[in-house]
Amino acid sequence: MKPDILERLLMDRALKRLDPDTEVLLADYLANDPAVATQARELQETVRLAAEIMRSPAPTVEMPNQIHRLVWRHRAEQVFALAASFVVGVGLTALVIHANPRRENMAAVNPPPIAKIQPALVKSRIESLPFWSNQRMYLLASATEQSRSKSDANSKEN
Amino acid sequence: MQSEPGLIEQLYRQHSGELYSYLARRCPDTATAGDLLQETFLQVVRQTDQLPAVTMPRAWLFGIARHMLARHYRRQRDPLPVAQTWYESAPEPAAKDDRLAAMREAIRSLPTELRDTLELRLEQELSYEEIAHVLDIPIGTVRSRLHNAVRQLRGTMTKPEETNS
Repeated sequence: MKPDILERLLMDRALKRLDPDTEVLLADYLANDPAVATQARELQETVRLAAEIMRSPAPTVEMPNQIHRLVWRHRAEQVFALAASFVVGVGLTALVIHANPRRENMAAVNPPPIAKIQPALVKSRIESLPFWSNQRMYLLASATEQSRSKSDANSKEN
Repeated sequence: MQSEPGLIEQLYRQHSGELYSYLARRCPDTATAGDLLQETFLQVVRQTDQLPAVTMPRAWLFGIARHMLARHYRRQRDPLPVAQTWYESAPEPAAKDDRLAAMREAIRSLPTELRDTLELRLEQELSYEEIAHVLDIPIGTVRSRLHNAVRQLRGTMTKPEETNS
């Protein structure tokens, strides 16, 4: 057997991570090779000593089952997060509502003047603008208003 | 199928003892270890949706506990690194066996990553697969780290004997 493979097997054996079949085969091999058997014993002793130090008793305390408390704590955190986002949402909405009426009032006091433009120009301008654009809507509204006032004037004359 | 709180409770019953012992050996006092155990399971509660996908619950819990421990020391800005463990600061036992004292020194002199890996194997008796999961490293790395650690310990332990003889 190659020395590096043999060493790997001996290490895994000392660390108690060798599968049982391989362990049996390795035991047979070690029985016929005293030098390797000594090496195996040394490795096992090294691991035993290290384990003895590392497994020295740790302080033990009877821990109460806290799962229900932890689940409640988690739920409280979730509720708190929801409440916080609700408060932030309400606050932002209030700010928006508080700011908008002013604009609407100002718009009511100073309504934008309706443009008085030539109908042909208006038509070509409307066709050149994107369908849902604000400017197109505004021009359409202006043209409608203008034609309504014209027809009112004509009816009065008649 | 078991409900999620029931599953977490089962995990707590099965593993809280060993997790507490793992944490207590690495914390300056038992109160901190208790707090970190609570933090570990709070994290489990927060990650309940991941529970069905967890294949190695023990390794998963040790991974979280280890993360909590690291976070604790990071927050404390404590010079004590995670790898400095209970047996380093523990008082020397009335040494009946000189080899134990020598081994303690040999473990102290191991590089952190080798010692960390060896502790998970010898102290907590985690399998190679579980250690790989806890440390988030390939299983081949776990094996080579363990072999290197044992090789170094053996080398240190056999040195005095060689010089004596």
